[in-house]
Amino acid sequence: MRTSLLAWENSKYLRWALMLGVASILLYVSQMGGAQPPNGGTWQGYVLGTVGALLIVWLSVLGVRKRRYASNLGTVQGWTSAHVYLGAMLLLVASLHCAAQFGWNVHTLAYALMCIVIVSGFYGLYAYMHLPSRVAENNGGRARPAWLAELAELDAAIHDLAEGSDAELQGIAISALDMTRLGGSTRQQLSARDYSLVQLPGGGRPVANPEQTVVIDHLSRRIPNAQKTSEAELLNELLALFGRRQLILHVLRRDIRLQGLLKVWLLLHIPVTIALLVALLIHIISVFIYW
Amino acid sequence: MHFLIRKQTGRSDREALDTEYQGDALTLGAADDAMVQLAGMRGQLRIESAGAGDARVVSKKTSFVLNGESFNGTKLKVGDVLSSEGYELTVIAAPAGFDFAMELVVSASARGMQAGAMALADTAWSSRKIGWALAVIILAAFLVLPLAGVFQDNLAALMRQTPLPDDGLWSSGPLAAAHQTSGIAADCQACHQQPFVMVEDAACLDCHRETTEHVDVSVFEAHAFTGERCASCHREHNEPAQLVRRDNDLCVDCHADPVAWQVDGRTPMQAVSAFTEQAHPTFRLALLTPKGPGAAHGWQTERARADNGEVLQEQSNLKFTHAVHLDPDKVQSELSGAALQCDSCHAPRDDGEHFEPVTMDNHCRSCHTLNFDVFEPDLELPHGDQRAAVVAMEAHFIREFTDPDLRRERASTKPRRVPGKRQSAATCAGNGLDCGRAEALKEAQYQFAETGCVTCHVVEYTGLSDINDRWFVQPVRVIDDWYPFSRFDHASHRSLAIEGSAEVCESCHQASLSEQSSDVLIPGQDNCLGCHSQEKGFSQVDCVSCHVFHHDEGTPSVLARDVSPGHANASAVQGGER
Repeated sequence: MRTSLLAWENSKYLRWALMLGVASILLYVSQMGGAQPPNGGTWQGYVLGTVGALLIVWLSVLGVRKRRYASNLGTVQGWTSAHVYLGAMLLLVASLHCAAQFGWNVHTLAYALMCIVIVSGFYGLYAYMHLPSRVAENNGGRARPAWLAELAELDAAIHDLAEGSDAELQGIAISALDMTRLGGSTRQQLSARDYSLVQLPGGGRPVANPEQTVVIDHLSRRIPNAQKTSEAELLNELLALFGRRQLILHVLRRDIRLQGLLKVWLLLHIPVTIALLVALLIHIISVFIYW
Repeated sequence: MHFLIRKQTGRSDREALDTEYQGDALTLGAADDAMVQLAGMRGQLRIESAGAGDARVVSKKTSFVLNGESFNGTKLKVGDVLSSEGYELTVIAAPAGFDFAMELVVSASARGMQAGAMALADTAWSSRKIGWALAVIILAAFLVLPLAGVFQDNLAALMRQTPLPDDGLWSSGPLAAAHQTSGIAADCQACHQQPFVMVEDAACLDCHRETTEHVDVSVFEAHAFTGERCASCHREHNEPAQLVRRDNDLCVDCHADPVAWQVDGRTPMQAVSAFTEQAHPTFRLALLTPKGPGAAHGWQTERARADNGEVLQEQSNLKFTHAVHLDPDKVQSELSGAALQCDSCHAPRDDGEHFEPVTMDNHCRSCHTLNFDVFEPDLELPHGDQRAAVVAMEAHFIREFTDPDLRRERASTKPRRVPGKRQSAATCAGNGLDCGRAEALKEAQYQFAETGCVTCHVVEYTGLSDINDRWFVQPVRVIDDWYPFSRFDHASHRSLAIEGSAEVCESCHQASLSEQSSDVLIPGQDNCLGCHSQEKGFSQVDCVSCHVFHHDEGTPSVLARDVSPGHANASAVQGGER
């Protein structure tokens, strides 16, 4: 992934982007000492603006191209490589177009939205380059459904064992299963914080059971006090099961978090792109309404 | 109250887990503070005492129904069933020691809800929804509302007075300081009068009525300027603000090859492409020349270049040497006794370029008095009017020789002899009129031909007998504007001051070396190129540093440009062949 996206076809689009950058700088410099200070209204400014606007539209089309699996118009990898390099260069093209003239107006709004899109894109690039390996490392070669299936088996086994135990043990073990939280709101998914609870004996409100530690502590404390061998065996068995459960839940939480981090930037990148396209359209129209 | 919750746990109905709770009320839900955890449930159920061992149930935003119907604050009785989303709560008879008991059955579907959403797609807002929401907000605030103002003046005024979005959001930058004024600054349509039409000249000329074109369009071909709007050069909304073009191309695009613009009968324009020794023609001085003998037909301004080492001379008809007047040994101020400085005579005008005229009365007369009779040294001849001077002399001497008392007095007084002054006759044999006239003639001869007028003026002897016509004093005229087509700021060049004002002036005008009034003391371009050449790195100047585009000789723009609103060609100089 890492080499193929940025180094696609020997970084062909990096060279394209650099050529575009050099051409833009030359065009900008040619405005110096002209009839007016560098700005978007000189012919050079119009050229830079047109190139920038076409780039924005073209870069936005990646979202469409990605969904056209049957398309023969280049590979998605090639498109993404070009998207990254030309998108980064857009920052320069647009900055030269506006000649760093900013104000409280729709033109600067479009620029600011563009910056948000590009910067979120940089994060996306980082995420796509570094997070997949961490996901793989975390999952240990098993996909999420496999972990969930094992968790379900563990839970069923704990249920079966707990039913044969005393009421106190049954209460704590089953409540620990019932009140385990996984995933949740966007914030909970991204934080990977464990909001699980457990109902301790003696009533009252359930207490926090992060990473199943409270139930594991309880089980391990009870082992020395076991009256019978069978009780000790049961406790040991439950302890082993909860230990495995702890690990699986941890893996799942991290997986949810990493998968979330792989996607969360799109919550900014895509809507702000739509907003940018509208702001860009208004920028162009308004410039010509008040020509 | 003591509550009992009997939760069915096993796969058979007989196995259950009892949990007891104590408190004013029992809360059930998915929130962390709920006493009975019902994973995945929305809201909270609250069971509280209704007195006399009864209990009632309150639903806070839950989806529970009581026996299949909605409820709130309803009293519960044994056998009532609260159910929702995989949970079923049945009120059972409370065992001994409990006030209230319920049986909880959790269906398999609810058990799976311990796991919340595990993908952002299930929890976060949809990207498209956020995108469309942003798009609609931006479209409304930045296009629809301001555009409505373009077509509804009242609405535009309202929006500009309130924080509502107005067409100011379309401004691409601040206005130049001069335009930051009421009626323009907040009202985009003061200039942008029609949507999708470039700012028209009429909008500019509405205020700038004095503006003239570059040329007289009746002499030069107007079509050279056709299509050039005011705003072609004067661009607003830029940072840094730059309303006036300063680039050489403004001038050089035509004047680098001026042959095409040449008009028959006018002095050919010389090519200019920059301010360097090679690329700029020699400065063209304005020199005044009298038209006709004695400037009988006035003066004409001739423009001349000191090309090929030619030394230009001024023809002012004044006799004057700067060298003598600036020599501290020869001339001192009448008042202070100090040597004369440049500013003893030359006072700058407010424009910073030109100087107030030097006049006889203000600058010369304190030394060069026009007294003519040693008996009456305070009496002076009028200046600037030859006939009045002759009449004054005649009147004076006729009175002197016709008044017997005065003659007696003069005869008995022997005045002190004044060097350079004629000793007028004290006695005369003839009658008073003849004696007076004769004396006046002698004095006139002295004044016009020997010393007096002739000190500073060129006086012609005509040989005519009439005293009024015998001499002719050539009129004096010094040019006011040596370089009429350029601007210069003396104030900014005061930085050349080293010590004393004389040295500042002399760094360009070498007056103390000038022996002749015909010397031209106005520096040529060599003097300017030393600092301001565009080949050198420091203090470069561009065309408009010295030259203006809108010449006074140009046709008034309100005439040259059709400023009637809405005219199809309102932005163009009216074309046409000459």
